[in-house]
Order: sequence, then C-alpha cells, then structure tokens
Amino acid sequence: MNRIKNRLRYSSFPLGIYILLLIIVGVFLAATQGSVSPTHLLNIARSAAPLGIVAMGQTIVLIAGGLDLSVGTTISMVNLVAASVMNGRSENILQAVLISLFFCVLIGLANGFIIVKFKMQPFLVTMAMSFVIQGCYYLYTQGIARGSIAKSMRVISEGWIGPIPIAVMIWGAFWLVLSVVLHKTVTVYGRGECEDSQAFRIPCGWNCDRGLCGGGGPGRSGRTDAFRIYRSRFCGYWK
Amino acid sequence: MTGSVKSHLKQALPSAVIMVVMVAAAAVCSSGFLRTANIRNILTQTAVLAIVAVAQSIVLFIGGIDMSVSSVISFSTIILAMFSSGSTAGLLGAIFLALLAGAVTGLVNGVGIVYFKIPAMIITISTQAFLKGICLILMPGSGGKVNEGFVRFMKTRFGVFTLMFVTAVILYVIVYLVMHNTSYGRKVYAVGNSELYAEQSGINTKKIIISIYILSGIVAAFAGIALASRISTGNPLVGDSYAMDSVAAAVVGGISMNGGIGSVVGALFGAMILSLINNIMNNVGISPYYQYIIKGLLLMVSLMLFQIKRRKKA
Repeated sequence: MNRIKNRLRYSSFPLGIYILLLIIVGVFLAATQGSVSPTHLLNIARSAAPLGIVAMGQTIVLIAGGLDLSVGTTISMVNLVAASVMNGRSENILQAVLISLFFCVLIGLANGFIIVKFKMQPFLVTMAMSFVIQGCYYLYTQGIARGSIAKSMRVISEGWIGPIPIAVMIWGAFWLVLSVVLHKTVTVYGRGECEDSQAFRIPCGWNCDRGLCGGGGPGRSGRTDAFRIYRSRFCGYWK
Repeated sequence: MTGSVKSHLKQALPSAVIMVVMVAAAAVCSSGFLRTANIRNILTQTAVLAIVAVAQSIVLFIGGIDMSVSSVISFSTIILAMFSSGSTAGLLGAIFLALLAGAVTGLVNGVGIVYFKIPAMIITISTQAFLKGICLILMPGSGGKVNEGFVRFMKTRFGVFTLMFVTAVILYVIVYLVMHNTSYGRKVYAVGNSELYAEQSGINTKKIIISIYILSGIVAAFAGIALASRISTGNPLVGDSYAMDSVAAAVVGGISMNGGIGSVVGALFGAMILSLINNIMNNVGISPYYQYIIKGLLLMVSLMLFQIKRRKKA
C-alpha cells in the first residue's frame, strides 16, 4: 500500500486530471439521468479530436519553454487555404494539403527563427504573428470564405472504421508518435532544460543555448513549432 | 544606473519617436489628418485602450500578465447598461458594482497566483472565461442603455480634448506618481526585477502581487465604464480584443514582459500608436485588412529593436 502511495506521489503521470474527467462524466451522467453508450462517448471524443491534436502541438512548445498563440489563426488560415485550393474536388486534395502544410511550416519556422535569433519573448512573437496571419487571410479572402472541402476529405472527420471514428484514430496515432519522440529521443526536453538554465541566470546560459542547439539552433526550434503546426493543420478539415 | 526613473523613462523613447514619425507621415500624406475633429477622434478612441494599457502595464511590472481585463471590460459595460439608465443613484451604484467586480476578479487572480502557485497566464485566462460566461448569461447580445447624462458628460469637450481622454491622462499621472515617487512603486519594481531578492529584502511580495492584480482589475473595470459611455450599450464581446491589444500597447511602449523595466508613459505612447495605425490607414484609404499585418509587423520590429539595444548594453 505504502509503495503504491509513494509511486503515485513521485510519478509524473497527471493522475488528478483523469480522476477529474471520470468525476465530470459521472456527474453529468447523474444530472441528465441518461444512459451512456460507448457510441455517445466516442462521438464526444470525435469532436474533441481537433482540440486534442492542437493541444499536443502546444505541449511540445510548452515543454521547450515557449508558448504559441498563433495556433488559432493558423488553423483558420489552413481551413481557408485548403478549402479554396480544394474547391470541393478530390483531385486537388494533395495539392491543398501540400500548400497549406508549406504555409504552416513557414509560419512555424518564422516564429522559431525570430524567437531564437533575436531572443524575444515567444508570447509576443506568436501574438504578433497571429495578427499578421489574420491580416493575410482577410486580404486573401476579402472577408468572404470561398471553396469547400472535398467529400473524400471529410471522411477524416466523419468516417468510422468499425466502431471507432477515424478522427479518434488519427488523434491516437499522433499521440503515439509524440510520446515516442518525447520519451525516446532527446530533442525537445534538451531544449527545455537549456532554457531553464538561462532562466536561472547561470553565467554560461547563453553559451549553453548556443552550444547545445548548435548549428541547428533556430532550425530546431522552428521545426518544433512547425511540428506543432503540422498537427494543428489537420484540424482545418474538421471545420 | 539601473532602476532609476530616468532609465525607465528611456524605455519609452522609441515608442515616442515612432509616434512622432507616424503623425508627421500622416500629416504629409493626408490633408484631413490634422483637422481638429480628427485629432479629437483619435484621442477619444485611444482613451479606452490607454486605460486598459495601464492595467496591463502594472501587472507586467511585476512580471505577470492579465488576460482577464477583456472580460472585466465587457462585464462593466453590461452592468452599466443594466442598472444605470434610470437615475443618478443607479449610475453611481452601477459604477461601484463594476469596480467591485473588477477588484474581486483581481483578487481571485492574485490569490490563485500567490497561494496556489498557478501561472499568471493560466489563472487569468480561466477568470476571463468564467466572467465571459457570466456576461453572456446576463446579456446574450448587445443591449441595454447607459445613462444618457453620463454619456453626454464624458463627451464634454475641452478644445481638442474630450473628458474621456482627460480622465485617461489623469489616471496616467496618478499611476506615474505612485510608481516612481512612492515606496509602493519601488517595491513593485523590486518584485518585478526579482521576487526572491525582493522577499529577502523584507518586502511582503504576496501583498504586493495581490494588490497589483486587484488594482489591475479595478483599472480595467474603469476602462469598461469609459467604453460604456462611448458605445452607450452593454456588449458581452466588446472587450475581447483589448486583452491582446493592451499587451501589445504596453510592450511597444518599452515595458518588458519579464518585469521591472519600463514606465506607464510608454504604455500611453503604445496605445496611441495602435489607434493611430487604425486612423491613418482609414484616412489614407487603405483596406482595413492591412491593419492586422501592419500591427503585427510593427510589434515585431519594435521588439527586435528593443532586444538588440538591450543586448548591446549587456
């Protein structure tokens, strides 16, 4: 018993939030006096998938000691760009995905580059970036959204394979990849610790940042952000 | 010498220069810009953002951030629209209630940050969402009516100025004096520079942090009251853009997000710059969609300049 207690106390697993989730489900179940079917819960999970994927993207950035406020406008931008390029035709899907992905990587790279190169606050850089993106897509659309997402693309959000929605499967796949990357490789955590040492004003902090991140300094942070946006991009298709 | 009033005021210098350049460029490009009516318009439009920027600045001084200002503003407009239309007593009651709501929000923020160690960003976003919910329940859409006498009173003109702008300037003078000429102000800057050192020097950091968030809430509510007098209705979403814009205004004005650097004077210039962008582009006839891009780029460029300057010094 004691050993279990100790393990719980020192584990980094966010047990509390899962307990809270169960309590919420329980409370609403009691409050609505309805029956809860797995299909219903999976439907909820399906609609939560976009948020879940963006949240994972935000997770990487937070672990690296940053913050990304530009996700919201990036998602809107992707949604608009993808819809207008696709224009409801399935042949254009690959084109639309590549183009919107390119913009996302560009935004992430710009964010990361400016933050690392000019040593600026991630909060401010991404906030400024979100203003820029917002202006750009307003200019592009002139205030009126055009085009539509192809039918065959909508399968991602509406389709079910057997008893499980495709959206949830994609969410799970991202989660799996992210977990492996975070726990079995060193990239992101390395940078997070590096930033910490700067925060504590260790004299070598500046060099440490330079040294550890090496030639790929800006690139890596940029890639991290781009990685994030790669995820958030998918959310465009749910809208 | 770091920490002197002069060094804080110096941070505001670039924003002042940007502002002067913008005004000069606008005066050359557009003939209508320098008309009294236009100038009065700009100043009145700036007033609300300028007041919110004060709320944000004092929080930035201690190294925090307050995203809940937006909902506090919306909430104040709603309270004024609901209770003030009848009598003067109702107006005074509504103003008191709005300020109280701001103070309570600030108290919740401060207590959450100090005693529960919640990051400032997270707790203020939570209170923002909570308060926004209340706003939407009380008034799902724009509605109500603000006391007409109050609306007219705030529009009183003094030459180029309106009472609204004058109120904002008075607020700036008060906050400036408090921040630079009292021991409370020095303590705020000390906490912003290093909470640990401040505590070791015998400053009650908890008291300072909580009081700053309460003040920020009150000032934000005050901004909401000013805004209500301008739009003369209540609106649950009217404050939304102010959370980001106030941070932008403060930061363009040279206030560091790490705390302890800058002066409220800069926030005034920052707020002016943001509303000048709007006005100048409308005057010259450029699509309003460009405003977002210009705002974003301006923010980034001015930050880069600060960063380069600060690094040179170090």
